[in-house]
Amino acid sequence: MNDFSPGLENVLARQGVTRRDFLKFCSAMAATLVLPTRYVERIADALATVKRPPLVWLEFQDCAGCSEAFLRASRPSVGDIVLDILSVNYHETIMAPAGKAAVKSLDDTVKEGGYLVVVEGSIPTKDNGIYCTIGGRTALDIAKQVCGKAAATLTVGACAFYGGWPNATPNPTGAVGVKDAVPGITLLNLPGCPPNPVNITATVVHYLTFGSLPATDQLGRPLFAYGTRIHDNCERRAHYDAGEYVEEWGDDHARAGWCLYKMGCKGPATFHNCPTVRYNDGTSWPVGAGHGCVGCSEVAFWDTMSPFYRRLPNVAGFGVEAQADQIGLGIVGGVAAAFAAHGVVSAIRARQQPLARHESDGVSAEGKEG
Amino acid sequence: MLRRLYVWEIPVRLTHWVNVLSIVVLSFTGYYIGNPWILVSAREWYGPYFMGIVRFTHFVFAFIFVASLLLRTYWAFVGNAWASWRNLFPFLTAEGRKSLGDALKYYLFLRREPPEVVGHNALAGLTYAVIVFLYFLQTFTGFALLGEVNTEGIWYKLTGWVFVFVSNQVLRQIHHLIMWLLIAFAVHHVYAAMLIDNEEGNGLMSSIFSGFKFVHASLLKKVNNKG
Ligand code: SF4
Repeated sequence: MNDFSPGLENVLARQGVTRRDFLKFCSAMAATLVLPTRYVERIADALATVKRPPLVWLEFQDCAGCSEAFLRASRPSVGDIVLDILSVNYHETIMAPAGKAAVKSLDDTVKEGGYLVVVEGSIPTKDNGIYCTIGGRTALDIAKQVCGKAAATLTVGACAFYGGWPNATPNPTGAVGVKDAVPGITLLNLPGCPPNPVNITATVVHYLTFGSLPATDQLGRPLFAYGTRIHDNCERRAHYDAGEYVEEWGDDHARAGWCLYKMGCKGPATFHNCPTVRYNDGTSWPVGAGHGCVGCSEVAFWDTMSPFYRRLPNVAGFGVEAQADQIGLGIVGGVAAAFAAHGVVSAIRARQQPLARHESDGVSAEGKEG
Repeated sequence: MLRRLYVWEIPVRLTHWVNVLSIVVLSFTGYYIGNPWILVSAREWYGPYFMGIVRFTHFVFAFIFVASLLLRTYWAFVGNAWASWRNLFPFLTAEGRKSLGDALKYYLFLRREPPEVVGHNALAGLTYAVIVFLYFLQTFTGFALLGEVNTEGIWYKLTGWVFVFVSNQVLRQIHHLIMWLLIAFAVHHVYAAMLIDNEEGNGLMSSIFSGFKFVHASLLKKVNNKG
């Protein structure tokens, strides 16, 4: 067995976390990261010996829901373990210092370098970013300085990913995500509304164990968490394939646990590991609880995944309720009507005014040989 | 006098009918996938996997459709003058531009005589350019949505980049809209063919089965001189 650092052991023991709990936590992390079991030991070794990296948690235009989700993480005492492994130097919502002291701890961390930064919330860019200021500085300014010097930046939630709710049309504050606000930095996105704390923790564990961020897709989301579609791991999938759908909230099909596709479930359009890791210590997740997925981990989900209870987005410029199929049917009907009218006029014309070339052939409008 | 002339070669007719069949099947299965309005009993043999079968059919016909498009594209380069890709861009030649104006005037009742042509009239050719573009968009959005299911697969490698710019829901919406545009086109296409067949008595309707059209001797002479 691996050596167990007395340092971490003591720290955890003091908080009532046994070695067994600790190894259970490491196994859960290896499973979340889709690693083989032999990595459990390696993770345990790394977490026991690693130097606590400083972490700052920035909140901009947000609802603090991602912080809430993270603090409620209860899978083997994440609050105890990860918060003890990390040295959280700055987190507006939960830090003890306030005012100048708080600003100073952020400044000190940035000066020292080598820290991780977690960003929650979108960054307004319109009108020089005045729509979100902290301590007299704009969010844009803070993000540029803090993220620019960080060892790595993690965005949590839809807002820091691409702009989230503040970014939804008409986006009055010009809100963007970190990727657009501070281009060219080492960045990993953990979108979701809120993201699953298990994935945040697993990403940190990966970073501490391997010294690098996990592999990502083209939108910068780690593949272990955003590599498969919700629809492909959903427990209601058999009903989808059988063509068995809930037609109305609370109907017999809903009670039988049928697929929520016709109620606008966006599982087929969304990449996330919700069906496998679930929320709140693996208790449940939206589709499990009987509500369709709203696609919160995808770009511009508020604009393109809504209406949440319909299959397709509305078509811009055609009124609130118009959907692609209704407009399409209208086009087909319009075309058919137009050509019916054209046909009537053409028939009358052919009768009254036979084609000259038929005349020369000696064919009359009625088609009789002359 | 009308003369019988072989206009539509076998690949042209074949791809035409394969396209018809695939578009019909793809439209019905596609509409069902978007809005599964049929509830089948799980006791039927196809019941427990009905949506699965419909999707499978949709994908199979998508591949058949693409094969047909590829054959037709190839034939646009090696086939006869009436199968050529040049018919799609009538505005490139002075003759085509005149024919375009004449056809437009004919359809708008501003001119009595439809332009005398052997293959498509110029306006029809231009319409087909739009249709070919819609085919391309429809195939691309379809394969992008199919590819997204398996991000390790070849289709995702070829089309996955599009999701950086457009969300998959918007692609779906485009895929739906194009289906309706193609159905609207089919309505127009059948109507226009009936109209021209009626007016000109050139056997247009049967020509897509037999390949033969009836053209005036004078026009035939022009064609032969060119060839
Ligand atoms: S409930 Fe949603 S995610 Fe689950 S099978 Fe149905 S459509 Fe897919």
